[in-house]
Amino acid sequence: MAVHAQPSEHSTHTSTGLSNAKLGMWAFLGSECLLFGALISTFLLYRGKSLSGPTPKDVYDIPYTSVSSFVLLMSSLTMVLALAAIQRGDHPKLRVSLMATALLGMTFISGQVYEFTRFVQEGLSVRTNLFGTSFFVLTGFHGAHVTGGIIMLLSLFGMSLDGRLPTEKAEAVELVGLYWHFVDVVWIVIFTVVYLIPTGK
Amino acid sequence: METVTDKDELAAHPGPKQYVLVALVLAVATAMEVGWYYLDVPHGLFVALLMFLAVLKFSLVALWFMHLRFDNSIFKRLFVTGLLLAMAVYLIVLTIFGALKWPLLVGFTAFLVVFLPIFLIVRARGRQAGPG
Repeated sequence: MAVHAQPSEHSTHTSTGLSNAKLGMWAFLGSECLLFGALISTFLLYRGKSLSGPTPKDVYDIPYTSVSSFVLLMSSLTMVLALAAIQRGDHPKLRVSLMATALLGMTFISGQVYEFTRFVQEGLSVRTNLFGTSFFVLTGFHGAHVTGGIIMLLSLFGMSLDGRLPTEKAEAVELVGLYWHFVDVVWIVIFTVVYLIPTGK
Repeated sequence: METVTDKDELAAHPGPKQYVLVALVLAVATAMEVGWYYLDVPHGLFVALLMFLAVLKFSLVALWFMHLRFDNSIFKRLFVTGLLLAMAVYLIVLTIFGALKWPLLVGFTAFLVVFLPIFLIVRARGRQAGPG
């Protein structure tokens, strides 16, 4: 059965009895739904309206993107294992999990950079057509979010090495984790709506 | 005013074994998505199946990895409000501008039809279990 992890030591001296930082993070993530919703909707609005190629079918490499998606999905597992580790007070495992998450994130971003480069070589840039514009803006924004997450993960890793991330500060890992998982769920939607559906048989 | 106790906030989280199990389901769901991509199925059914798997993956990550299933319901409300608002607003926009062709419309409807019952069931179970 579950290892009932010791929950993070939140400051509960608030009118709600809940951590303000965590409330703020959830409110931020709720608002991020609207940002990514707008970008995904723009992609759908412009779908099939490009006057010239390349089109999604010309440039997408679904097996390649599937592997990238899998990598990002697995980074969510290592992230949640990092949180479980700090809540148990297991700092070596925390560092391993944080670094694994950052490395998986970097693998995903490297894959995205390679994909963008290949698309540009095949004649699709942000200014080529409506598909290029909406695709690069949407996936670029997502990539920027992943990059921000990697920086936060590496900061936590550095703090842990310095001994500035004791178990009492588990909430910091939890907040970064929430952000990271959100970036993952956004990619779940992007992979389905932007990659698989437009090019499906 | 509703009093929120530490018990709600400090609800027990699952352990590594459960997380690995959830990750396995996510991996299988991703494999199924890619598998369906290469099968010759009608486009409407294809979209609905993909939407179903996307909702499943989304829910698993949000409920288990983000602990929405275990944490205080205020967090769930904040997130779900933003999510539903975004879905409603952009579904209306896409419909008005005629961007939703019927297979996508079927898919989005399936998305809503599946997502809402899951959310309501989880919520009802959470209330039955009570705080802590």
